[in-house]
Amino acid sequence: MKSKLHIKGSTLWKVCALLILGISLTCCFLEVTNLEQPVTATAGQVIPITLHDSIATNINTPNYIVANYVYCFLAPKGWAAAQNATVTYTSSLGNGSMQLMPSSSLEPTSVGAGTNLTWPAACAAKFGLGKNLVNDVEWVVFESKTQITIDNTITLTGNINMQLKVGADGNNTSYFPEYITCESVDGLNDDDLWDASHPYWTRTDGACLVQAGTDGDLNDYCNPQLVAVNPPKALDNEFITITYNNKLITTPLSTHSDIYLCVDTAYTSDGKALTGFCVQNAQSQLIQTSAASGLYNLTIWPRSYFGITGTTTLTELVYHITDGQGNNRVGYGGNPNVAFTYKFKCN
Amino acid sequence: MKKLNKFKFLFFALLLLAGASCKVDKIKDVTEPVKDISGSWRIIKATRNGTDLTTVVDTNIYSISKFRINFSGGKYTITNPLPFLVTGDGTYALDNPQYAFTITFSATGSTTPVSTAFSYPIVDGTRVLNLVFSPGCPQTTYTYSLEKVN
Repeated sequence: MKSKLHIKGSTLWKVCALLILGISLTCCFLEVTNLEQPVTATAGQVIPITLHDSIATNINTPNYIVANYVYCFLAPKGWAAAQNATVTYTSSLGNGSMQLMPSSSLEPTSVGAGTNLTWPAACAAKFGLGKNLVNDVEWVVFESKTQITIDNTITLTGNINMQLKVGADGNNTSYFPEYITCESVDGLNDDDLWDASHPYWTRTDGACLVQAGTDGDLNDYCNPQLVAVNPPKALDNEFITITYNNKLITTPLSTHSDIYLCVDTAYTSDGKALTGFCVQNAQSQLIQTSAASGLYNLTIWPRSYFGITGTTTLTELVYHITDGQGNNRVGYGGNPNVAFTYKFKCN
Repeated sequence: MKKLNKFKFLFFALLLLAGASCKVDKIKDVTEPVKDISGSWRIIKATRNGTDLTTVVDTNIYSISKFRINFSGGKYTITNPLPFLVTGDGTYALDNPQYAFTITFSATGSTTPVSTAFSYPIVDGTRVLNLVFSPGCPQTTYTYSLEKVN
């Protein structure tokens, strides 16, 4: 029997495309209209941070969603923001408080992709360290305690308010905060077919936040450093990588490519001050990462490098960077008279 | 009508053929092999928080390529040591010889055994022993992938 249904191939494709488009247009066009964040703080101070959001919706099939507000915040690890932040929200759909995202909750886009990442891991995979130069920051994710029903074709406004106690580790830290907002149904999905220039989430870069007020170390993750040590916090029984930036400022080493680590003193837990490690040899040479990069690396295992045994541990290194003869020395800020220091600790 | 009979004949012939082609295969019980890690192992990849360190640590006093761990009769010995789960030689044990999920190292003289997840996949036809641990600060994770030395 001959079919009475006549659909041309091209028409069929158009109908299918429209159907897929209709199903895919789910939620929202989010926008952070304003960020209120201080740029200085003192250790122990509780600082207020507020994000003003605007969300326009276009929801199909069904014409509403039930979701949690989600707020991702990038903080220095040493601040323990999960324990030291409280977050609330106000919105045209009601007010409430937020809680830490349970570690069992998976970010929905990663579930769709089969990678099944937790929310902090998904943020780290997508947004990395933000604008920070040192990998000593972490994503802390909050969700509204209650779910919110968001209807179609509305524009809702909201504020996320965070009270954050800074400087828990007793150090002075400068870093770039990052803020992500989204809702729990679409998560960190990029594909907003309604408005291709806007994904389902918003990202807001905060200005460099400088926290002072302690006699601890200075951790500056905003500005390039002459010397960076990775991990920035470590003990003596692991590898540390010392990176010297020979292009950052003009120093006596600027014309040199033979760069060495010169440890003036290594202090130990039993009160000893070890010397004799300002030598220029294969073990102390920093190697340029790639031709003309100007970045020189040396990875050492401190316990072995300084011959530490038994229960003794290293507590601190005081060092310079030198040329192959040890004649030209560079210290903190390029000053040969001020040594670099590295303390072995986890906080 | 004749045409229909032909189809019927063909159909039954195919059915008979299909039936005759079937036979019940007996599936032998598959026994999970015991995880035998005895022998000498070397590091083929070392990472710190995901950053590859394999080729950047190579001095004449410590070297990733020269590290060896030898498992034998419940004991392990380390030559050319590196930051590791334990310091010094000792004993080791798997939580289950067939379905091992954890390996525990007990260094001689230490009263605190150290355990870590045991992963023993076959990569490119070769067994690889993956060990994940933090020898220093807990926020820094190291992964050593080891391959048996022939």
